[in-house]
Amino acid sequence: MKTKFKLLTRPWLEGLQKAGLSSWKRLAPPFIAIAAALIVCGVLMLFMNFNPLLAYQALFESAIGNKSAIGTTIIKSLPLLITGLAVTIAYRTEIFNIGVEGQILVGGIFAIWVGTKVSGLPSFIHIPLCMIAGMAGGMAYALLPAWLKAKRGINEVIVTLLLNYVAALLLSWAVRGPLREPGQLYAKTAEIAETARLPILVPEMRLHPGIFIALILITLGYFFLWHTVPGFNIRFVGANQRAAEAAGINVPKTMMTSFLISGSLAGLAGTLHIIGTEYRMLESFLSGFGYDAIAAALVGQLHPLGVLLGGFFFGALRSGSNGMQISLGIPSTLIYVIQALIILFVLASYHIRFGWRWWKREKQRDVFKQEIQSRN
Amino acid sequence: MADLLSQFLFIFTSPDFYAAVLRLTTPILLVAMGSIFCERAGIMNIAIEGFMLMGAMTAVVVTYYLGSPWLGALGAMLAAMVLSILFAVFVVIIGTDHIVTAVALNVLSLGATSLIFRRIFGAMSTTPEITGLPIWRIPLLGDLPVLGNILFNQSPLVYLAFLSVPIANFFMFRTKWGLNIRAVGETPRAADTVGLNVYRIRFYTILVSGLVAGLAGAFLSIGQTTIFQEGMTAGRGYIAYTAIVFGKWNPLGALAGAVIFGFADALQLRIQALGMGIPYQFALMIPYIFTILAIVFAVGRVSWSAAYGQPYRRVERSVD
Repeated sequence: MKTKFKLLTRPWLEGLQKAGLSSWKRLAPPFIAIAAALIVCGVLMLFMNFNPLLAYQALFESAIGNKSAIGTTIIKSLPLLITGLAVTIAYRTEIFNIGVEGQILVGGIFAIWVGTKVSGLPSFIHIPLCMIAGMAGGMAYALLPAWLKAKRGINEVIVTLLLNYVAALLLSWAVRGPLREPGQLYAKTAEIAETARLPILVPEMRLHPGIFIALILITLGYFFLWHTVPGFNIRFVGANQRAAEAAGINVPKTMMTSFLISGSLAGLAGTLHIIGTEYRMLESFLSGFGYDAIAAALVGQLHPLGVLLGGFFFGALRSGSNGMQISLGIPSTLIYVIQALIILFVLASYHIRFGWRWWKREKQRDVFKQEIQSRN
Repeated sequence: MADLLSQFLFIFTSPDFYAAVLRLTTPILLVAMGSIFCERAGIMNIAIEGFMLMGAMTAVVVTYYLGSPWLGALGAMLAAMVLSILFAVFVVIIGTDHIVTAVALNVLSLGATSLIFRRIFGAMSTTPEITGLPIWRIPLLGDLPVLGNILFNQSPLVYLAFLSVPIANFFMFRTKWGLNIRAVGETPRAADTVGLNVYRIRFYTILVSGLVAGLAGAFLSIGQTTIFQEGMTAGRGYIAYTAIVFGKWNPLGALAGAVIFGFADALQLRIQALGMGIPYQFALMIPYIFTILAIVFAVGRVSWSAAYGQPYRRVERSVD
């Protein structure tokens, strides 16, 4: 009875609690959701007098059309891989970390500060120092909502959403105030020192070693969640908080852990984007990537390996939308619409699948009833 | 220090400041009064942010084409309601997670509004010339010495917002419909057992929240100003939600919350205007920080019902 209740109230999370991406039934929903979202968005484009086929062609070409496009896609996916993992780990504890958006920014500000104000260090110290600073920044920014959630039971969603606005203002202040590059008309921070930059591996694709860090983190994330004790606790708390409490797991501590890991990963994502690609921050730094991360995590079925695919997909969407805007004049904000539709369809797909299963069961019950009646 | 004090004294003694408090409270209060019913019916509705944004955009577009801000406000209400129907279909009928659905809808609204606005008015997003909602000076009362200008020389939506509080309170606690809504939120199963249609009541209350949020959005774009900017609601929907939680899901309490946040917003504007050596970004943070502090100190472990924010499935009863 208990399990069935749970199954029906939160079927999609319940269905995701198992490891492994085994059956096609689990793999299909995201693809169906993506296809459905693209079709609906195409219809919307028709209403707005854009040609959806041309639009998707432009999107596709500027996402993976040539070498530099692929490079841009990988570079844009990189923060999404890490933040997607951040969202996933938090969500496994039933914490919906929408604050990723803000944590990226605060981590980035910390990293910029270390990257520009500290000088004279060798690269092998300066780069890790930046990364640690970025992670600390992200973690610090997750501390308040984490503490409120774990100790006082206050919903993390509203707090993190509001903190996102505060973080954007903090960045605006940092970019125009203390970290501003003097003598520039357009507000931006100074570039970080040469010693803090990651080397470029493939110049025509602007690839940097950050991608390996992301891949390693995703692998580690998988092992952490399914092959370590804290990871088990995180999943246990997420699956059934009361049972976890009864089993003697320190629920607040587990929540804090997963939230803070999530925050520090978000900070790291911002940092890698700075020390690998941009070397500086503008006011528009990675804006909207926190929401992309949520979409990537949900499409990836809250599984680190799924996040890998989801992250690359949304990275491609990001880089493709730029090309679409340049060549066809379709505003790049279109991707927000696609993204939102994908999230909605992913959510719906689980329910519709479980609803189907329930309906079949109901039908069976009817058959039984008829049989019983006919016997009597 | 003394200088700073005198500046604050200047702010707090000017009648204009209090008029601004009322004006800035209005969108938050309106939205809160609209969505308090669906909150009471058990829906955690933070999609009001997206509804408001849709309303704000539509109001400008409709006013531009039809020339009447009143039709603009009506269009805003309808557009926001369309979005709220989408929310209701997902949350009530399909039974998806309230929060994730709401966040997705807010992203959808952000993308769709800027897409439509840029499509109509060009990539530069230059705002067209439109006439906003008028200001109604109440006869006689508007001529009162100080209070007249503060209270009775405002946009009609300001009056509507404050009048809606006693109306919402009466509706919620003195009518059968209000009782039904509260029952559905408190224990949906029991409400279902006595014959209330949980789905229908939740669906309609969400529609009401959409309608009213659209009007509040219209107030932002054609009431306070005559422009639309991308993402111009800037979290007012979330702040309104917090006002409801702060007020423990009571209309009168939500009024208190909304006034506090309106006060913070007005204060922030004055600080920006006066300079005072504070970077404007920090001034802009004030309403958000007020809101977070309100959550931290006033709310605590408050949730008025176990069914709150949970999708309701009737089938649970029949499957065991």
